[in-house]
Amino acid sequence: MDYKGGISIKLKHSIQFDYSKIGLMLIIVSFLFCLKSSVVVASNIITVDSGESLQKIIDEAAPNTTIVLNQGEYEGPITINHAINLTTELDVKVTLTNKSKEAAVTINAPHVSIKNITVRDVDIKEEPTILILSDGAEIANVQVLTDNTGIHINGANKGKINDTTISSATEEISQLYKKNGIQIYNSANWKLDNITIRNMEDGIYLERVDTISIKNSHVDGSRYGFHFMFVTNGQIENNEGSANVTGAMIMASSQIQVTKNKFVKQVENLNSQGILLYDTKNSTVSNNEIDGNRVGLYIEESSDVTFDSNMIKNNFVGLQWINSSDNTFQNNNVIGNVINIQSVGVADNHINKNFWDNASGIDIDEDGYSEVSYSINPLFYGLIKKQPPFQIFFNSPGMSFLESIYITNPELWMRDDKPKMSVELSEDMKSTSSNKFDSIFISTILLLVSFLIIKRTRRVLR
Amino acid sequence: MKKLYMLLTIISLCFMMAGCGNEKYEPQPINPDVDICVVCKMAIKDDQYATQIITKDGQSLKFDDLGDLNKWRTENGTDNIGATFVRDFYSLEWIKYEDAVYVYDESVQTPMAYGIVSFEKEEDAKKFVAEQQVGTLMSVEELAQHSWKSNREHKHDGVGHEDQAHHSNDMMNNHQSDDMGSHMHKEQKEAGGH
Repeated sequence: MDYKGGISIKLKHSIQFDYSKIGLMLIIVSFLFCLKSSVVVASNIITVDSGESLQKIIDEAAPNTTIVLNQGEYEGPITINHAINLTTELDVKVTLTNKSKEAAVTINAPHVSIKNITVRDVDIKEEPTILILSDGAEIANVQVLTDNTGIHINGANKGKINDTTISSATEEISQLYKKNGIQIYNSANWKLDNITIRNMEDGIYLERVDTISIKNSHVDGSRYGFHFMFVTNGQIENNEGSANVTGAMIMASSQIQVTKNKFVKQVENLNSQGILLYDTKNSTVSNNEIDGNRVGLYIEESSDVTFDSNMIKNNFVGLQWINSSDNTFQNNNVIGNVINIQSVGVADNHINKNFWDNASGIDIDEDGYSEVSYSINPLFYGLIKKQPPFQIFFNSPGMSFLESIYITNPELWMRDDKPKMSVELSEDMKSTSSNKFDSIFISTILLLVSFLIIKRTRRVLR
Repeated sequence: MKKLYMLLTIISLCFMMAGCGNEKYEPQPINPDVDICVVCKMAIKDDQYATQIITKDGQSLKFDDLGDLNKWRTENGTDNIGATFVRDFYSLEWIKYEDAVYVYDESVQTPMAYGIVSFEKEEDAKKFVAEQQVGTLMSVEELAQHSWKSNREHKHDGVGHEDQAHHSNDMMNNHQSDDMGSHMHKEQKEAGGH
């Protein structure tokens, strides 16, 4: 007992005595730890020159290594089988060229990132240019030049692609041979931001995807800009589509939010539309600008979809609404279309408070809405659906006469019970318009300044 | 002489009537730039999944998937149908709907996910099943009893990536057409019934 007590006393003394030394030691140990960890980080960065074999360096790199490519041309294909980051220094131009029949880049391991490079696929083949088969992949600031599928994702979750451009390597390639820009199959939790896709088949094609957001992206010159098949919980926000066959094609999907997008000038194909919804449920289409398309908004066999505050203008046909019920269509502006709306089989929708530029209304109680409802006679559309050549009778006196006497089952017609008397822009639309006014204002000032400079220069010359 | 004329007239009439009864309905080629599916409005590729109905008044109704053709037949009836055509999976030749052999499996990817492909010869259908290691052979009579379920579920469970990588590569090599994921993928079954 004494012996133990003696030790305890000695320890107590030594602890009290060495406080300052222990503190110093702790600082030294902490410093060494920091040093050690910084050494680890430093040893996980490998710099590569363009002459070296990239595949060999990737294979030999430890997990989580950052491989920094120096400026120059590199040769593909490469396959990544463990977590690495492939990147470059800022403002360095790196091109990975692939002349093989394989994918230029195959990602087979979780948590791989590829940043700041150009990937160029030379051959035309079935394999995509970038193939992602694992979770947690990140593609950022990558330019893909290809006549194959740009990025193919299959069975991979929780990834993101941002600031990336995908375009056809051959400008004049026929639509028949084009492939999709980005295609995602059977995957979940993807975030796509600031993607630009040009001249491909479908810009972004999704099939059996759960939870995805596509934001701030642009697709043009392709077949379908954003093509959703069997997608649940998708978000398309603040994107633009122009000169495609169809801007957004949403099919057999549910819980899709299509908001603040701009789909313009989809007119070159016989079947062009701004947005097409087929067999879509529980979704929202709001604050979109659908301008100058062959058909602005096409809706078929869809239910529980809310269309709110969209601007549907200058299309040949504003809306085509076929066999869809239990949808809500409110606060939209339908302006300047050759035909505002064609509909058939549209009973049981909730349509009110929209502005129709060809509706005649009376606002007795001055609440901004007409007391006279706006109805759409389905006769003409039903006729041309069965016999397309009858389109020649559009707006003909004979057709108007037939429509005036065809009043069978008017309760089944599409009807806005309380059409709006004037155009009212939503806050989002107002901000877009104010931006336009800003640019007009700046342009006017620039024009005035130019005139002044020219005038002064003339005076000086005289 | 009069009798001879009469006989010739009767024979000609018989031939004309026989001709009327045997009106020929020919399938029309697919033009991917303008042809869209009558049911889902999606562009139709000139591939093995395209099908078509020629109505008795000569209209060609084209579909991107046999399932959509079946949907149209169910909704509109068959009274006005002159002929129905499907395509041989391998040769892409048009064949009569009634004469084809069909293979179904939920993992067979078709544009609208009905999972049915068609063949002119039974041995080709069997070859397809052997190649893909999935699929049930069906005659047109058995097709009439088919459930026509569209297999749209997202089935990924986030496991078995190594397997998936391998199978997806197989899939990429096997696929016949790039449109709408129109290729075979075996990984769903093999990765353990997601």
